[in-house]
Amino acid sequence: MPTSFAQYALLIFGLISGLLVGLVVFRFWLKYYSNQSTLMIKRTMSDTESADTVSIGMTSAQTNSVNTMTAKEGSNVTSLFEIQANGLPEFGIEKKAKSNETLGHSSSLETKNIIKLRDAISQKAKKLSNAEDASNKGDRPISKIDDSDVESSDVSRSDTENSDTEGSDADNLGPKQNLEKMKELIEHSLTDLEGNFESIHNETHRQESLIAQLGNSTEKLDPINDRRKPIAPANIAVDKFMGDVNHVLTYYINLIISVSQQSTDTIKKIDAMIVQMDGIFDMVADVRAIADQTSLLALNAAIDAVKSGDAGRGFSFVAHEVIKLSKQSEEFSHDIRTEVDAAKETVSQARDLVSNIAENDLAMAVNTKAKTDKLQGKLVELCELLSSELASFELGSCPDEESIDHSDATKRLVERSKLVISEIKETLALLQVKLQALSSKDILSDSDKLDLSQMLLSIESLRLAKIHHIITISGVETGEISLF
Amino acid sequence: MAIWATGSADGKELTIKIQGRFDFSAHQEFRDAYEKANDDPSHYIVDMRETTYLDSSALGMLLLLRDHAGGDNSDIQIINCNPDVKKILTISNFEQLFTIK
Repeated sequence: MPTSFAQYALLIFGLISGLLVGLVVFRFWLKYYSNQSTLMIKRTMSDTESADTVSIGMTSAQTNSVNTMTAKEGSNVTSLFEIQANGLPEFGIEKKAKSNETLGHSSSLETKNIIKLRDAISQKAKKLSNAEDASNKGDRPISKIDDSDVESSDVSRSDTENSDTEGSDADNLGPKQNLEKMKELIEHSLTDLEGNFESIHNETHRQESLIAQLGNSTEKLDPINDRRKPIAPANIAVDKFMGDVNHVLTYYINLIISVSQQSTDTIKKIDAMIVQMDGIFDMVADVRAIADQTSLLALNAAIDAVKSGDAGRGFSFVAHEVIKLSKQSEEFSHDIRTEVDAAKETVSQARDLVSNIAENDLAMAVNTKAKTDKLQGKLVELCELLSSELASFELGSCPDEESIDHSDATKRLVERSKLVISEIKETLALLQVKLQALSSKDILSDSDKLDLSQMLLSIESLRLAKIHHIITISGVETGEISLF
Repeated sequence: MAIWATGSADGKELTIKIQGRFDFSAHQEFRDAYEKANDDPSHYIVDMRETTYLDSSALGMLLLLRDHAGGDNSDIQIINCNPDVKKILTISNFEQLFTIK
């Protein structure tokens, strides 16, 4: 777990830095293209004089190569999006870590591609500068334009027309179309980059909220046992569960002990009752002894009555009645004894039952308690681990704000590059109109040539000023970019 | 299982020693140990050095002894418990009712 959390943070950081490099490269690229457009304006000028169409062909070839590069990058960006989209519904941390791993992998791929792109661009830039040097060598100075004859102007005009017609062809694009294409490319790439930043931002936000949720649920559990804070219902109620288990267990143990205590007390009462019953037996025995004695006395009286003859006849009757009574009382005492015996038997059965209730093995309770204590300890450990991981992860997710800044910067960059490119386009259009107007004249005077060159210079300085202004603004707003 | 009750010289202290299993079969003897003491002791010591087992009725008997000795005002020490016995007394929260050493 901890390693995947660390990897996770590292990969996010890697991705952000990769995209930062991408941003920087795009800045390079933009600058490079503005330089290149300067070259193109110069070249357009030289076209009119030396019919140099090689650079245009080179530019279109370069545009094509940039196009393929961007397409490659675009596919990478798409795969990145797909991976993120796949990662989105997953809430399992491990899965997310996995998706981030792939995310990091593709971001490193992307960074490699960007580096390749940068290398390719710098190579092209070298080639172009060489070509420019070559064309500069071939150029005639503006002051020598007055030496050129009508033929050269005718050639320049036909070349301009050539380049125009070729520009309309799909194979060989003119400077205007090149610029259009470049604009599209830059826009597209920057939009992709921006989309990347946004998706990273969203992903990080989602993770943060998830972490916050987890953090809330773990914070509720105090590592020290039995000191619990109030529990929020929506969270993973580990502590609540443990509290309930402990509560139930304690209740159960207390119930058993209380039952045992009461049963023991009941047994004490039953024992006392048995003693009392034994007292009843004693009394019944006394009653029986009295009955026996009475019976004996009555028998003696009956004998004496018989001896007395007629005078004792009535007494003899009484004596027999007394014997009957004593027999009855003996039977009665016997019945009592039987009944009390039965009661004693029932009471002793009750005593056994109660003693069974009183006797409960507490081993199970002890084992259960030991198990729940162990479980609680493990849960507390887990929560502590989770909290520490969350803390480290929150530190790792800090660069998020930075990426938002870059995302904003990218947005601004897109807007400004659009502006710059449209301005360059306008300038070129103006230039072409002027050149056409110029070449439509039959004879080019010195003043015309000077007018043309001045106009071109002023346009270029205007454009340069604009670009400089833009770079200054973006440099002030994003400190990292101003370095470049 | 055997239970001995020994009173101190001044009659203020009664030591009840329990040997073997302390379960329901001992209840009569245990009750006799404190109910039939000649004096009225204010301090009780239950020595469990040789006690091997406790069940819930033993805990009930200890609670009855506590009631007999004055409930919340009683002064009862349970001493020399082995780990198993101590575990049972602990999970029953007897530490709050008795002094366990």
